Amino acid sequence: MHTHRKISNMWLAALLLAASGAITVGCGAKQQSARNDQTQVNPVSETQPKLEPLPQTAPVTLSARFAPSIGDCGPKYANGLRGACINNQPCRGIGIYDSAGKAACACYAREGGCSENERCDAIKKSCVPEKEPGFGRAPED
Amino acid sequence: MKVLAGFSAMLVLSLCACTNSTSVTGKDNQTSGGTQSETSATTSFVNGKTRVVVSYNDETNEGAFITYAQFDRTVTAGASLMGWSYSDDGGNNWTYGGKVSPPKGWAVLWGDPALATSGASYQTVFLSNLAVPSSKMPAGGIHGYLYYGDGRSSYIGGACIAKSTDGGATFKNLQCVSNTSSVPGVPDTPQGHFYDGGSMASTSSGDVYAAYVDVATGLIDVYHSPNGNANFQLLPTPFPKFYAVSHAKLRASRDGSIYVAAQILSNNTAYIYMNRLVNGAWGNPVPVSDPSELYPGIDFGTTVQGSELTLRSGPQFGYDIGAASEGGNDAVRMLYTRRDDKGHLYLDASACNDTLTSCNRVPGWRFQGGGPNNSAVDSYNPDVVAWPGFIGLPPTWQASWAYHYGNANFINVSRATLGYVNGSAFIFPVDILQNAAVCSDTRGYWGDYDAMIQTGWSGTSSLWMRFTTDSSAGCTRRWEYSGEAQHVQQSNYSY
Repeated sequence: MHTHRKISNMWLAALLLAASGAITVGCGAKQQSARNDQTQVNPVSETQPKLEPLPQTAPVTLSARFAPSIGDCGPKYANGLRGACINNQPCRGIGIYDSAGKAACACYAREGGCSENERCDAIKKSCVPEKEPGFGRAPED
Repeated sequence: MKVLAGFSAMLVLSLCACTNSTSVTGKDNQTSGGTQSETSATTSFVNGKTRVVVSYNDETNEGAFITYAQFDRTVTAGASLMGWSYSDDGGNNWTYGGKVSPPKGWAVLWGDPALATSGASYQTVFLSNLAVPSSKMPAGGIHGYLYYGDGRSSYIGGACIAKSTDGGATFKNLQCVSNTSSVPGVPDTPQGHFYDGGSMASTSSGDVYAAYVDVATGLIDVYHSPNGNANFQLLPTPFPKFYAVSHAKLRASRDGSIYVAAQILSNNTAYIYMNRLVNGAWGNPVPVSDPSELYPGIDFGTTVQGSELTLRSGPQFGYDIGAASEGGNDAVRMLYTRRDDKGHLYLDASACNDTLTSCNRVPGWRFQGGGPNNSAVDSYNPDVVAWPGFIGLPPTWQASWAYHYGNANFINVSRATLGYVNGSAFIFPVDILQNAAVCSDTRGYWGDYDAMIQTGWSGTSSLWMRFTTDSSAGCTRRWEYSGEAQHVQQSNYSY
């Protein structure tokens, strides 16, 4: 099996060399097709491809009910946005209701919110360096 | 396959597909004075011809509504980024279509374009933009970013959809959509949730769908119009128990089903999930990837106009539904972006059957490029487009992406067939655009995403087009919210 795979790889490498030569030689002033690729690579396989199954579940974060920010204790971030004020405590995140139904601070997956030099990014839904400009990626553009 | 991966990586920098690249905007008197970037594209069929339609964040002639200072931007009521261009000759020549103005009750149309052609009427085209409702528009205009509060609040409060019945030559406002349910902790939600992104699709019956990521709730909002004559209604959300963190991408299948994909939050990463709408009902959300990159920045290792160049990017996955191999387990194919141990971005791949009950990794389509002198490559913004096949026109799968290497302010764009050699999954990247100069603003914005579409046929060869921001006119200004020049270019090839 290993030997067969090695031979197969060598064959494919040789094929690539041939294809690269064909494309390089084939480049001209006028637009040319990518048929060299087409002749070597079949969009569908007539034999069932060997694939690696993905897990049927992924360790994603389950959403929580949001809790309101109450009071003025929410920290102000360097970019002008604010954190939340949860249970009269500054929260570098948003308010959620925990499994006991109590309001708690979190930055989505991170319980307790972000660290002192971070802010909770509503687009990335995670903690980012507080000085990261905008959202790192401004959502409006 | 490591040998092959390395080999193809070496080739990526040495081959040229001899594509035809032209400017879409920036060379005519109308668009040259403004900026255009971030594309969505479609084709229509009108007067016996195929027309290519591309929309972008269009700041052509917006000086009356959008003004800039080095560290500020002021947006006033009436601003519109909802512009487009079209070509009737396969991309050689382009006509600037103009702008759609904000409709009554809405102050600003703010880009993130999405285009779709009706599956039942090929001369009917739909165009979506994010939008600021008049009720949220501050009297003195919007300064700086469009969000505020804890970041879940925004002046953006929905999206507007325009419709063309002449194949994309003209568009008129059709309907704006908005979610006004109250969200605890996000005080402005009754005036319309903060939407981001935008994706549209249409089935052969003429049903039209539009999707946005709702930043306020972390859910994907999908709207449906049975015939494209307004009356878009909000559907149940496809990923109800999770936090969606990326734009959603919709695709329509020939069987009338609608697919949606988005990146879903995990601890310090994101997984791509998909769902499928059949007969008006969603199935179960399904993970279709390993951990993926969420809006990564690409450090170019250089400066332009005195500021370091780190590019923002868009949703890091592309997929489509098309012809399957024996066994049917690759009817849905996806490329997505990951980060390697050395911090560089590469493309990984997965495939599912059409019912999403079987999803698999496809290591043979993984692409970790290597540049000259073994320099590292960052590959990002993948697009995947399928032609499912028809009588005499064989199926194909095409993909494209951008990549960068070295310490220079340029990118290249590659394409490849997602296919098989001797039954083994295989990818053979070929450059279709080389040394495209980058001129982002200092936030890194240079158009977050770009479209790839099939544009038609030449005999039995399929024709393809990928769009890219065009800064070939130079880089004369890099302010916080403004980079110039930014226009749109296209690269096309036949397969």
